[in-house]
Amino acid sequence: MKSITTLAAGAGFFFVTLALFVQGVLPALVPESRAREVTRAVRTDHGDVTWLRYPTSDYTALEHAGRAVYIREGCWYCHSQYVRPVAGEERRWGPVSEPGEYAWDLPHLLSTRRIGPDLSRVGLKYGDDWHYAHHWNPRLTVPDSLMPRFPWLFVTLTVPVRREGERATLEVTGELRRYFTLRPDRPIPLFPDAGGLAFVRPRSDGAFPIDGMPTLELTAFRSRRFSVDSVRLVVPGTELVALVHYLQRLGASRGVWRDVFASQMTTPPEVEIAADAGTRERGRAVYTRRCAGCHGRDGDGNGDAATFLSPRPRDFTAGIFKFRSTPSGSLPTDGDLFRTITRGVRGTAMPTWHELPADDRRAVIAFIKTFSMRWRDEKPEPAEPPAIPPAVSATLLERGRDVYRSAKCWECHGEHGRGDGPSAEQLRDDFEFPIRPTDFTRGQFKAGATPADVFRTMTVGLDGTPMPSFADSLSDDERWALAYYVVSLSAWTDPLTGARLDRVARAGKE
Amino acid sequence: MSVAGLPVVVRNDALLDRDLIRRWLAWGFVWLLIFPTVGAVVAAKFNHPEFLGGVPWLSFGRLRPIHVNGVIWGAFSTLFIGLAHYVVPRLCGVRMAGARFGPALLWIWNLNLAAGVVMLALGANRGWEAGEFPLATVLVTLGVLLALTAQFLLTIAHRTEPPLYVSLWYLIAAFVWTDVNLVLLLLGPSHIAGVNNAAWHGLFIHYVVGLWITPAGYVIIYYFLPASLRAPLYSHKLSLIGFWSLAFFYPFVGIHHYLYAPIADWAQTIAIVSSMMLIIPVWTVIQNFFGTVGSHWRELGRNLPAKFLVTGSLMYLVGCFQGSIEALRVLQRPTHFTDFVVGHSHITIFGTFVVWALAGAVYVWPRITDSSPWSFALGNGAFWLITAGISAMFVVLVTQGLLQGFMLMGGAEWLDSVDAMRPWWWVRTLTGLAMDVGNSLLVITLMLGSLGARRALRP
Repeated sequence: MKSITTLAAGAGFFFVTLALFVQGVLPALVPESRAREVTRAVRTDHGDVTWLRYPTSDYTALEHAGRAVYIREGCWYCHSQYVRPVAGEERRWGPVSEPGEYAWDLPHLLSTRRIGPDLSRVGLKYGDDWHYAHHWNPRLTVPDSLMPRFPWLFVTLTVPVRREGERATLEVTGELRRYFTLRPDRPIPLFPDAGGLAFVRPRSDGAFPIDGMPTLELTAFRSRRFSVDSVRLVVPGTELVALVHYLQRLGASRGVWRDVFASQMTTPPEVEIAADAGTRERGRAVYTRRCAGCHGRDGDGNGDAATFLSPRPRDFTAGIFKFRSTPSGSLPTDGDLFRTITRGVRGTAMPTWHELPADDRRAVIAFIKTFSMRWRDEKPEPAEPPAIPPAVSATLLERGRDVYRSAKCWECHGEHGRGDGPSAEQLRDDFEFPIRPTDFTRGQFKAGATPADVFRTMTVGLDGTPMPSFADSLSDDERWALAYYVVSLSAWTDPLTGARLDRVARAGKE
Repeated sequence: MSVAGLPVVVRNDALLDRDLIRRWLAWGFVWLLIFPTVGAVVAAKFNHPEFLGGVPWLSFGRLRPIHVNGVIWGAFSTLFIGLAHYVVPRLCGVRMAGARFGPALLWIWNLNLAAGVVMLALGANRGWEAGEFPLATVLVTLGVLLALTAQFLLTIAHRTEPPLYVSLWYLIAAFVWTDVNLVLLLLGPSHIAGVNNAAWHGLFIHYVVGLWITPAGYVIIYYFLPASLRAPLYSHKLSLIGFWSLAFFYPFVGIHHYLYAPIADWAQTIAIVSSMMLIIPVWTVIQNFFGTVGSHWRELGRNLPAKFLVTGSLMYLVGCFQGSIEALRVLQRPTHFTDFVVGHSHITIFGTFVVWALAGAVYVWPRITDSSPWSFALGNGAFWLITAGISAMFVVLVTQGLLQGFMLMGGAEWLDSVDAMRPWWWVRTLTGLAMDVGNSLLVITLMLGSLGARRALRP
């Protein structure tokens, strides 16, 4: 009878060993499962997007630290990290996951449950600010969210306010000294909300002290009184900065896939959106659930999350809109608004809303138009007729570079397009909020990443910002050349060799 | 007949270390009161994210692993090990080998568990679902399990009753398999990067349920069902088929946790096929259990242990059928990331295995404390709360899983699909509370009974 004991124990070992081999070792021997390459969408010098195979790279030290926080706080219990090739996930989240994307993941974080959205494509969907606001209180940005708050990932300082007439300044406390260098020549503008909560942007490495002097700006209060005796400064701690670095990295190995993501491509519809009361009511409901957190219940851009966000959320009461196809100073068309909502504003807290039913998107446009009298008194001027792009060539790009110099784009956007021109630091928008010129090399274009999008922006300008219309000062050809040049600044280069895309090889394929 | 009737025949209580068994069960009761309840707290956060919010160690991400690991290694395993100390000596006709280490193992096991849970609350997490405990905790767990394995194997080797009853096969298999699996847990989260790490994790997590909890549960029911009914086992041959088909198919199913991930398709298919084949062991053991109940259905009313065992078996039938078809690709599409899966894990882990462990405890506790439950009505109330709770929870979770899954397949906006879950989550929390209250009442009636008996003994 002892043999049965031995048999049972032996069977235990044998079957498990067999299974571990067949289901553990063998799949791991499949070369594809250990591949480091993924298909990556890259922008070419010519402004279009192509796919290539390219190896993924390991996480940076900061991203590793962020990943550790992601594991520790159990983010992965509610957020999966894989896009399945079924159930319409490709249209919802983005490209289907490939093995190479996980090459550096240890342990894996695929997860088995989605209580929140999948995160494998979340990188660059939102700006960093949005993530900070969302971790401080998820319901600031997403009123219906059921994610926990993570206040312990922030440093919070309560600082008394001193008043001198209209101005309010922070009292220099010991705590403040500990976290800031307090250099008077480097003011750090803070925009407290009515409750006295003021977000402080962290250093990019998340360390302390932050260089500069925190300075209260009461621009957002306009005529209202700022009446608190102390403000609560909220600074993302090092761990949270690391976490956000990690989040922004997710999906980045697939390159600029978002620029060719079918779900958020829209051709602005010509038809106007019905402005009946029913549509507006539906729009109000959508707005309250999806938009009010940032743009505010009254549409004035002072939502609960606004103190965290830069650029500030759009103030709809002014009726001034950046992204239009209509001439400078005009209201946008419904199609313009529809496009902005659908594709989001890259690099800011405004995400893409392609998942939202199109009827909801239309309804919310009808509602947004109730915030400003302009919509009653004026009509959008006719859109600029679509211009025909020239054939792209090296000469065109060179011409674009010349125009970039002569039209003084570099004054704001910098000599190399990094958004670091001589006047970049001082820029303010029409609402007196600081505004940064776009860094073209990052390839995150607010109004769209095709040369045609950039051409449109140069033609009609971004209303309410220091970006003017160049319709009169530059010819169509010059603007086209400039548009192609600007887009080519974020063209893909091999991070290791610095080589640009092999045009010859591509030409051969075509 | 002599083999099948074994558990009833051997009744030499002098072989038992009653104090040790009582302590294992008492610790099991403590964990039973704590860890399932943590689940209800976690569930409440779905509807009220601010409930106990803003405090790191009370946050969802920290409490969830405490619930999962606590139920597996605390509530279920501690009760099981206690029951094994009752079952093995009786089936073998000898005392436990290495009995002098018993108390030390008891304390190490439970303090290690408590320390591990505190570490989880403080943010330790190895990133493998159901394997989050810190490395040190896993090492100690493995150490205790190895010692118990040695104890049980030696006891079985020294047995005076030659036939090896089916409970003992499963016991040997459970311990041997889990020793191997914990080695996998020691290494897994920090070795083999990439998508293969997910494949290995799939294997690990299903070895926890398939090669520890399942055979451990079989140990319990194969012993206590005939014992509590005073009826012979229906078929010894069926239990053979059940054992070997489980041993053959269960080790292969793990990757079904990551279907449609970029893991090799053939490996996914093997996992799906083995998952379907699990119907064989499941239906054979179920047939065996209901065959054993045979003509005794009418006696179940006042037979609390048997009632729990039969209910657990019904849950097992439902849960495992669901589990098998859940692995099919066609059902994966809507349900993969939804509460459908959570429904499966609750009806099996709690509805079946914890319920079987409760049955064992209800059977053993009065016998080793020379008492009877304080109130049958209270115990029966507990039974119905638990049964109604888990049944309703299963229905709710499965429904909401299908609902959300098909909403998403239909292209619903993400947040809308989450929003639609809110009423269901409410009910789910209530069903969890019903189970928790049921557990508490059961423990209360057992404890009051034994405390009363002890008081009566005092001069």
